[in-house]
Amino acid sequence: MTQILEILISGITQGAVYCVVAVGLSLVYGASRILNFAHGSLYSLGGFLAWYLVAGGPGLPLWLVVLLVLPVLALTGIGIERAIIRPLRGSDNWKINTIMVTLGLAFIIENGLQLVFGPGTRTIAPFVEGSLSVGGITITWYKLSIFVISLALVGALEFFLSSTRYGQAVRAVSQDMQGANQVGINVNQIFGLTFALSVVLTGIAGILLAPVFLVSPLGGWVPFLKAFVIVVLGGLGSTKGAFVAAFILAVLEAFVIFYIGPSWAMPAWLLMLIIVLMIRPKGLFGVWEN
Amino acid sequence: MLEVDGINAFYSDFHVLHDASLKVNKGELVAVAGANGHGKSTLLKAICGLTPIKSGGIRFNGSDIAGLKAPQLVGQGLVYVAEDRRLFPDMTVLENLQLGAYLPAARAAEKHNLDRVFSLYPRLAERRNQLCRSLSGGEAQMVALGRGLMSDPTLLAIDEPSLGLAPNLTKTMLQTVSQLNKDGLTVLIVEQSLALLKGMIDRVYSIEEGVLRETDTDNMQEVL
Ligand SMILES: Nc1ncnc2c1ncn2[C@@H]1O[C@H](COP(=O)(O)OP(=O)(O)OP(=O)(O)O)[C@@H](O)[C@H]1O
Ligand SMILES: [Mg+2]
Repeated sequence: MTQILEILISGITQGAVYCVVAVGLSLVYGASRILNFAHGSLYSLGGFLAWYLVAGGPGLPLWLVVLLVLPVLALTGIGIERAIIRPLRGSDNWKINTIMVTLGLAFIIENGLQLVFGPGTRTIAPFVEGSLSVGGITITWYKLSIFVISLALVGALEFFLSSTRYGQAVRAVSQDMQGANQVGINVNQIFGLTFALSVVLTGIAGILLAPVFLVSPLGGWVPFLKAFVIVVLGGLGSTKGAFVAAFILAVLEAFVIFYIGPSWAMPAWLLMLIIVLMIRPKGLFGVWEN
Repeated sequence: MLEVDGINAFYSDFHVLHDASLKVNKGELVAVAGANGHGKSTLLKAICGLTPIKSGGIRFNGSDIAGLKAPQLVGQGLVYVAEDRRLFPDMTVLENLQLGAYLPAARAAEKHNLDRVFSLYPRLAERRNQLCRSLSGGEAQMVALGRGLMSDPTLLAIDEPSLGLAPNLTKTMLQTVSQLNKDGLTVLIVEQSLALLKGMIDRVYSIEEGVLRETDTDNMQEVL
């Protein structure tokens, strides 16, 4: 029983961080229908930036690093939208084009990281040590903290989307672009905003998970794939769907890893995805048709 | 107030508007009438910065607005109400109306305009928390017009408000438009049939294959 509870808790804490990566991917998709293939590489970028500032050179504390890296990630997102997404808007085959350029960007970031930091893996020491034991169940303080931080990030995003002007504008653009234009929303500005938020979310997740998993130049593809499965399972573009799906899959993963083995985690995710899509082709909370 | 001077608009290489010119004076209700696919929506969208023009001039309140995009024009008081409503389906009636007042200028008048829309359509006040995807056609058209009014327009360009509405609903809708015009709003409206607009319009143009012609309101039945 304790065993099962422990696995469950491990899954839930993991789910919250997956959720951060996935809502970032979903946010951009929802607003602009772009699947950003560089999302995972940007996760690695966050991890490496943090590693450098914490362990590589300046030796700053992790909490300060997060604050410093935040604006860098936001500007990176705005820059990506401005430099490689906006010029393609209105072009024929824009969807395919955006896939090609974001995939290209992923390779550029990965090779850049490899060039600067080398191909090896890195890790960061967690900002809290020790663990909490209650009734025979043990969880590290660090996992508990990243669980809380992740929930706070997703909660803040949800509040932004539901209760602020700009958040309303993001939803407006995702639901009817011409309608958004008609009421005076600058669609390019909103695209830039969603990219900024998206890169912040994935980059922060990359930092938070650096002490748990390792950081490596090519290490972003697993989080990308997982975020993609979460977003499709939850329903493309639905934040609520991504939230629910992240927890379902992370708990599933925790049980599969414990009872069957780590190499079965991804197959289990894909199996789950196939089953859900057979029953609900739009995913759990998918509402938009394209 | 609005002067359109010989504009041409294309979809790829399909020439839709041919040297279209028209004029709307302050306080007028001007109609453009024409059959399916003759370029009525394209005309309004081109004026309101939602589709590009290749040549020609557009002046609004004395300044050149050709080439400006909708977000800039909405801020100047030139607002488009789409024939296909273009509501945000997964947002509530209230959120849709609030988004009409997205820009700073309109936001300053948001409270006042919201009261105005709700007194015009008490039904929308009742349904303020309902998602727009679940509204009836008539209610959706009310939100579309209401959202346009929330942008605090000085000239409202209304595209076929009768589209998809039952005749009695169309009649009420057009009476509302006429009342708004009497209260001081300048209106440019597009319709296929002018029968229901009779007695409300100051001037009328006919559009045929993208060619605009001003017509006598008395003879407008002949146009159709
Ligand atoms: N986005 C588009 N791409 C290509 N062609 C278009 C597009 N929109 C409209 N057209 C074509 O341009 C012509 C004019 O269309 P428009 O919508 O302006 O006509 P309309 O008079 O408003 O018609 P309706 O009464 O059906 O609303 C039509 O032949 C239409 O098929
Ligand atoms: Mg039309």
